[in-house]
Amino acid sequence: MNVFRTRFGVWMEEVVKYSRYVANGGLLFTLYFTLIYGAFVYNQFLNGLDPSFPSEWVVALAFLILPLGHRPRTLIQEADQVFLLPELGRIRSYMNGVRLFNVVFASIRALILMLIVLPLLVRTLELTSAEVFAIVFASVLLSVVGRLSKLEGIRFAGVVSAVASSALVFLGLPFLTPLPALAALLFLHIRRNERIPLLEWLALEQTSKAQFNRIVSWFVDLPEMREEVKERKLVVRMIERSVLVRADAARYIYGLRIARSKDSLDLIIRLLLVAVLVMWLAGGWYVGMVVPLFVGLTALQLVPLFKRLDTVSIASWLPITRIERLVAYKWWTLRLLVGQALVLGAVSLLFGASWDALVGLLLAYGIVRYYLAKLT
Amino acid sequence: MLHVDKLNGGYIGKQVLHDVTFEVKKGELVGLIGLNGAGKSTTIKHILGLLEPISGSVTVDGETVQSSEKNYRKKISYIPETPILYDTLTLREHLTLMGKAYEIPERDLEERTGRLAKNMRMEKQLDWFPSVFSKGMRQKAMILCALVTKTPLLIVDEPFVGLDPLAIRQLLQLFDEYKEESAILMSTHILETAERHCDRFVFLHQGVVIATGTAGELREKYALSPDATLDDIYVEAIDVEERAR
Repeated sequence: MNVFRTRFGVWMEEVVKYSRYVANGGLLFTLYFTLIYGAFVYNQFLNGLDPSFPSEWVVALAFLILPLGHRPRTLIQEADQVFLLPELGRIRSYMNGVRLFNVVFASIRALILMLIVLPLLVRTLELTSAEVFAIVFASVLLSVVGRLSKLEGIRFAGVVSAVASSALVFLGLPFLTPLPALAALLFLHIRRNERIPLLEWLALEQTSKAQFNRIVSWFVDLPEMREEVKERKLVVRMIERSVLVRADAARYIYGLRIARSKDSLDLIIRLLLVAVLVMWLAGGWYVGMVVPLFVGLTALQLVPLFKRLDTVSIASWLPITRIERLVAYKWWTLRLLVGQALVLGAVSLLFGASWDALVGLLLAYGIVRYYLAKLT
Repeated sequence: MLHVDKLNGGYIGKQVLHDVTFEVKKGELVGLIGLNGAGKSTTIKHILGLLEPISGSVTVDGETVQSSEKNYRKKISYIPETPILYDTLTLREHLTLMGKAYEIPERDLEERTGRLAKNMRMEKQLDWFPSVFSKGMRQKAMILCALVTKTPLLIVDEPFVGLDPLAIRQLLQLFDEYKEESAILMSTHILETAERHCDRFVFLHQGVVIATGTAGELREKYALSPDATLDDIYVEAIDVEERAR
């Protein structure tokens, strides 16, 4: 029996199952709208682009980003620690299947990024079609190297080759950019694992699955999810003195969770920064409308978290009623989202918004209320 | 303190408990004993108000979950078999949460936290996150969270799993102190320890209470010699019940 093929089949089933939920959710509209708006704004930006724009820097940055942040899937399960153990040395086909699977993912990621970067390059740099192809090929290879180096447990292979490829761009040798990545790929091949590093691959799978579940949970309830936690002493001390000291039990739990979990405060800050970038790219074109867009995107991800927390919490037997928990979560979410809207509204004024800032804020408030009303 | 009266309950489409009746008085530590699947956890879930009974009632200190969920829950603390802690809260913050949920005055909470943490050798771990706890530490953290509340009823599900011998001894001492003001219902498979520390026993078999009483009363009921252990009594009780069916 081919273990990889069986696992891949299960993975496909899971993806198809959850895709159906995602596609059926009316919330997808917000994402479509964001993409269309983003594409339009980017086009505006490209039209007004100065030929002296430092595109080499953008390519170099893209090269540096591509090997980073990969979360490879290995399809390893906890039970494999027992049941797959006797076969570890023999299932090379499984390892190759996992490698190929991740190569495809890494390539798609690189191609998506290049779809965005390429129009910028062709407009500002004088490149031959062979050089453009070389840059695209290098980006795919760098992304693959970044992902495979995590699988093989070899650090820095991706970063070193990315720095070398970036240097070649600055040296005016874009045609040679794939070479460092190819060398890194060869190095990874020589130093590849001969048997499955079970615990490492299990940890990779769990991290990657948690990310997949996080995205799916925007659309459908997935109570069993791991949380990534950061201590954040400063933030916690601030809210402790101002809010938590007087807060009831439910607000206390959610306040600390929002401050420390990587999918609450981080999410807001991340989307806030992206929104500011979009406003800058829009060059004053209805920047106020960016506010409801990004507040909506934040709410889309933040609001459903309640159901996940509600299911896993010990609060089920504590004297904290579900209504109290619901009220507490809404209390925090409303303040966070309104705060985000106000900050974005103020930034939009700096980027030239006028009446549209007010309309944007009102729309953002409406969107927040809409999402919170759905939380019952 | 706890009155379970003719409780019929279980899950949707599957009745597990049949006319379960027993009580736990203030100052008592009662052992809930049964084989796997006997209905111990289902009984506990009903007492915690997590399951809706088909019929019958559960009363804690005169309060039912139907009359006031919040007041009812304030009277119960619980140590589950598998520790469940918030990843985002340190142990000290878990204890603060218990203080807020059970409305414990700040000074009392501080005093109890210090004393219990010292007893359970968890002082150093107070500012740690559960993710770095060992299995035993997680269990101790759950025990601290429950004991700090000083509720009239403490429910304990297999408390000794994952604890070292010293921690088990300390826990039993804490139970002895706790029951002076409260009642404790403890579900366990470790009959030897239960025999030494429980005041009474409730034997549960296939969702039915087959016997209740002290070890002496149960020996008498099943005509066993005075040196018969709780293991012997339990095996005999199951045999008698199986033969009768």
